[in-house]
Amino acid sequence: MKKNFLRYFTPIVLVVLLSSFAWHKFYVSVTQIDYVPNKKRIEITHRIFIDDLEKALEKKYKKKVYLTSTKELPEAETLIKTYLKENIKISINKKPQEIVYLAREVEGDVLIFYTKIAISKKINTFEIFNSLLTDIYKEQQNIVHVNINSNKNSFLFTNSDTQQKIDY
Amino acid sequence: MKKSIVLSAFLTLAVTFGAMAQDVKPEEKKREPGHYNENKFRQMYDEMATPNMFRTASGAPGPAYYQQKADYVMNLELDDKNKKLYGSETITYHNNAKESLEYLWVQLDQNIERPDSKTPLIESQNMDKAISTSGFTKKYMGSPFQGGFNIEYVKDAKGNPMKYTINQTMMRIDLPKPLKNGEKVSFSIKWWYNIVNYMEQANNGRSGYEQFPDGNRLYVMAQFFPRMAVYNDVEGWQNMQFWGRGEFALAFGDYEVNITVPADHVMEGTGVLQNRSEVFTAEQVKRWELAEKTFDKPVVIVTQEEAIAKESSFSDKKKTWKFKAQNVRDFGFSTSRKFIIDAMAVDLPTNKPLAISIYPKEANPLWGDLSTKAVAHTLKTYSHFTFDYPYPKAVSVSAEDQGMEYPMICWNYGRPDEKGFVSDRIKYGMLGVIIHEVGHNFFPMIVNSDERQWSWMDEGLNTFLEYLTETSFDPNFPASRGPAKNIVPYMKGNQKYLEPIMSNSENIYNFGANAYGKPATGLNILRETIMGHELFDHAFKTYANRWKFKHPTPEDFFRTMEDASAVDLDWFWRGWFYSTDYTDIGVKTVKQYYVSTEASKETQAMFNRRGRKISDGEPMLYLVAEDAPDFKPELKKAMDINSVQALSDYVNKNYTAEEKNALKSPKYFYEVEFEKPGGLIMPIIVELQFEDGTSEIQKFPAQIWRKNNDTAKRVFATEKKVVKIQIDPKLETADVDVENNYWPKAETVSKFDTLDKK
Repeated sequence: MKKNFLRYFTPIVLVVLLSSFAWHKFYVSVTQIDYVPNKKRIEITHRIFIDDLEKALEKKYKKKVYLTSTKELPEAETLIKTYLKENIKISINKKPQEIVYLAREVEGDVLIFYTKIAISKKINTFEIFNSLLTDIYKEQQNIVHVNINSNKNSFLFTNSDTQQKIDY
Repeated sequence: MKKSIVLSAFLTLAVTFGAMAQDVKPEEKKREPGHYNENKFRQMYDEMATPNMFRTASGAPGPAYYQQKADYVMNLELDDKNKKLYGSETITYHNNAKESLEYLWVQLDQNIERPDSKTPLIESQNMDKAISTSGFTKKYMGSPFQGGFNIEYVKDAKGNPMKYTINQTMMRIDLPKPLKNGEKVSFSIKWWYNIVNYMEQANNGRSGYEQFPDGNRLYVMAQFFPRMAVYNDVEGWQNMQFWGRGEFALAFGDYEVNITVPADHVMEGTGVLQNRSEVFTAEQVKRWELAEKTFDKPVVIVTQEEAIAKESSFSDKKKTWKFKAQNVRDFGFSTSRKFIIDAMAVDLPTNKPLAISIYPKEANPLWGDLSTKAVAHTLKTYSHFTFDYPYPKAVSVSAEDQGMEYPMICWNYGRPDEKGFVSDRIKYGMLGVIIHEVGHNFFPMIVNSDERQWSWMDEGLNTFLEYLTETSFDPNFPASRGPAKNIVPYMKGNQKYLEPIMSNSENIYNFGANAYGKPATGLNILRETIMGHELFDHAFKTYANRWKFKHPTPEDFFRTMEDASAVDLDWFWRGWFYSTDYTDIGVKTVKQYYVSTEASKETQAMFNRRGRKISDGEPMLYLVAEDAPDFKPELKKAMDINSVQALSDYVNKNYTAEEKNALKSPKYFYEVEFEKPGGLIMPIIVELQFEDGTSEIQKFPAQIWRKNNDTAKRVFATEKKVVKIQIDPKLETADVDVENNYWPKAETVSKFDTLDKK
């Protein structure tokens, strides 16, 4: 059996890797957040299934966007940026941060987004809001790994839990 | 020549021991406790089952190997209107075990859809704090699907009722007298059940129907009949419950199956159709005959026009399709009014099977173009690596959300969108799933491992061959499972959520990576890096042929791979399959040495301690590290043999001009210490990059770690100056941290560094 079955067993933490088209029917995104003080930035990587994101964009904008295909709409990039802005929010030391979109790339069935926050000060509190794809799947699970000040934390965001806070 | 080598080896040892003798002060040293054999290369006598007369130490079936046989005669009827399947079956079970059996276990997989199924009850739940009205209604107000077998009777061959007991998905049938070795018993079961919409309500999404808006349904039918459990020398009865993930363990047997469906349906199923002329038009039969002789492209047998014409007919008449299958472990079929069929013959050395696809018009043009070609390519490639595909056909059925395999037939997802557009993602997704599921004909349909216990034995081996098949079908195929680097994110993950491959499927967090990706990658590493194609391919083929139409265990696979190749792989199985260890090998230090004819003070002192004089014996050369206390800066240059008098004298005296020409002329000397923070053993692959831009790869077998699991040292004598050393430059070993793979320490440029600059 290849793929169909996994949706019935919700993986609590998916350490990886949405990398194969074969596996898809569990609704998961994975975000990695690393604070790299010597480079004065927080590095953020989102891994999201292409068809899930496409579905979300189509629902929101009421048109087909053909993400990553030869027919992708010219404005797709802007739509994605807006979608990410609305669904991922980060506050540091209680101040909302600007998340800078850097790039995206395709890996198999998955879109990888690279974004960053320019910062160099000490992080005392870190708050994340993540509601990716919860607008289309009630069973959506968003896993976030945070690596700040040598502390590693992993969080599971769902339809009903979209906000997390870490105190350092 | 020889003598001087021995002498210098002796001196090296003397230096080492001399130094050690100085360091250790025995009276201060605490006595360490002893330990068991913890060597990573110790043989796996403790973990593996002891070989016996059933299964030999070579990994082959032994002289006492036996397997059971289960033959089925079934009459089925599909009630399309009410979505029910009715069946009566006669099972003839042959006991080939030496021991007698008091009872039989029969699998009732459909019971996973019963309202009282325990499958949904073993999942932890969180409260949905926000839920749609439809979701709420379904979750809190709806009643469960009324699925599962309704058993009407179980009767013996004379028609008398037999005593049976149902425990969830397993049914025990008590025999009036024990079934002895060599005996067979026949009994009949009559049953029916409600067919589930597999996309909406199923606990087991592998079979059921897909609903189309036009009122038609496409049925993919499997696990639809009570099936004999496996009895063998390893598990006794394999009657572990069907919880949903761990698939099936099934005995081989012969099938005779008659399936009655609405007269306008078109069907494919396991086995050979016995009454083609009764269910197809004369024209379609002619097309079949043409397909059987056509090797270069698919022949359309039921056209799209013919299929569309039937979509609205909803016939009240019935037709019976009759199939016979020899030596298969299961039976599946797919039926719908909507089916188009195409097929082509596949030219294998000893068999000419048909590659067949059946699909609704919604799957075109994608399926008509590619499905049958992918089936044919899969049969050819897998046959090359194992044995010629022995069955008469392989069918690919278009079924959305599916990817599931049965003997000779499988269900596969991937259709154009509603506007007919096919993205690369859908195209390659569909091709990948077809290759994978058709490939399952080899593992586990023919090499019949126990999926209930070990998912990796079929999924891992199959994913490995799937990778080879995809990349040979299309060099640009985005195959993700196979290359070593792709398993790194999984293997470096949080250990709390990792299990060894040798774990039962129900107890695994990340099933895809654990049971598919990691074993496939392990085999790829064996083939590419550790064993080489020739040894690996022969051993893999030996395993497939030894266990074709038999029931292998993991040990049978591990042992055969070693037995057929003379490569001891216990260390690899132990690390890659039995543990969650990961690879991390790095360069710890690099020390450059220079050749001198003068002994350093340290060396002189050592000679003196041993009561030897430097002038004894033949002239000596000394390799001095730059950080030696009495290092002379003038030494710091490439060695030139003409300026090392003792060496050139020696060479001139002992070698002819011709021999001298054949001598290498090393100029630079490096001692490199490797470290291994990772628990996994791997060969050390070292790339030396020289100042002129050229490079050279040297490989040290995994056994370099046999006495020291933490560090290893090698000396490199090169003609060109080394400017960079890199471990595993082609990312072959799944090294989880490549930052320590470089000398000199390179500031690795991350993805973000590159992006941030833009």
